[in-house]
Amino acid sequence: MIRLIWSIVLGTFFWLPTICMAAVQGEYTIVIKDHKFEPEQLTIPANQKVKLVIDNQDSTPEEFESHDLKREKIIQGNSQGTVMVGPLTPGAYHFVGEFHEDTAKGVMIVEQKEE
Amino acid sequence: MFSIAIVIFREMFEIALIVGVLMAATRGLRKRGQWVMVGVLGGIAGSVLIAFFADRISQAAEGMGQEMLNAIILLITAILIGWTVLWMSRHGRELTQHLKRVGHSVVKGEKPIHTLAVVVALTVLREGTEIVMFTYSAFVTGGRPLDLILGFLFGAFTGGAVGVILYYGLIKIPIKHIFNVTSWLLMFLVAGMVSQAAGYLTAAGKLPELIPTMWDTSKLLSEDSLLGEFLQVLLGYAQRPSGMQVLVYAATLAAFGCLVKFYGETVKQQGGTKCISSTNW
Repeated sequence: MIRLIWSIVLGTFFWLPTICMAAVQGEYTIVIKDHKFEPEQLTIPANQKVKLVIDNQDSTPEEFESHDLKREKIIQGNSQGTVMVGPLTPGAYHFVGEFHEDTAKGVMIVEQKEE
Repeated sequence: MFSIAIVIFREMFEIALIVGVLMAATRGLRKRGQWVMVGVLGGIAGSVLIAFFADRISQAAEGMGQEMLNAIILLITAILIGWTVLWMSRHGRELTQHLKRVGHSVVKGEKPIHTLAVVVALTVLREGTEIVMFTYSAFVTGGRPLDLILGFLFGAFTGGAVGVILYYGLIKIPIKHIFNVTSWLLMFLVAGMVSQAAGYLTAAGKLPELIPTMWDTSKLLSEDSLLGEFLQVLLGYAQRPSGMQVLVYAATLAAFGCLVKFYGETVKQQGGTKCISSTNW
């Protein structure tokens, strides 16, 4: 029985093509220090897959969370975490450090690149 | 104190909602309260363990270990809840008759009761890791211990109360309908979990989004609001779901619905006597 449910759930995933995965086109670092993001505003190009390295320089863990970006990730004190985002449409995407929401706030501006 | 209470409340709220529905859904199974406690304790122990190894987990799977772990926990939880619902749909009739007759928990159900404990443990584990890390973080940052403890207790208590209210609301439903109602609820809950898992797999780069945003109802009903979170946990509401999440949600619901319909009912018809004998009444 469990095997049957397994096969259905897994099947649902694997028949779907995992192609059309865009390659990473840029890397950006956001530093967390004193429970604040640095920079607090970050501009990235639209329609590109981007790697965000969250560098937590505080000694305490922090959770990078963004409903706009649909990402959440716990980053331990004095360590780094990777968050992949995009391709995104132009707009403002807010993020917070959930463990210190009063101070850790930031926004990612996604802009159309001028060709 | 309040910022601590709010974070703890949010995590407890999610645990309590799921446990509340599960408790109502498995009404009539013997000793389920005890097994739920076993699950809670196991979950707490697991949370501390995962929080301890968080860094290593994070580095795994090319930096996507956390996303993968979350997706796997969600999928396993979904499968186990699904299995419980199927079991309940097979045995719902006898359970109902039992409840009507004796009015309290007497039905033997070895298998789902262990599954229940595991499901509870995994649910506590998922949210508990965040609680552990957050509390640790707040403690080290130099929050006053009294504020910390009060905030923690207040958040945990109010979050837990929501689950208790939900449970008592659900068991008010006439016995004739309770398994139907909870089965439906759990089906949506499972679909929501699988779709959330799909979200994590997308974040880990294992699944495409298909369409980045199917709709945006963040202005209408934010996931940050209490109602938004309530619907997110129980029905899988998302304010900006990707195409993949919507597809997976629909597929899970459809597949699960078919399973309950065909598997649940054929067994009920063919094996009526078998079911009755298995409960020794």
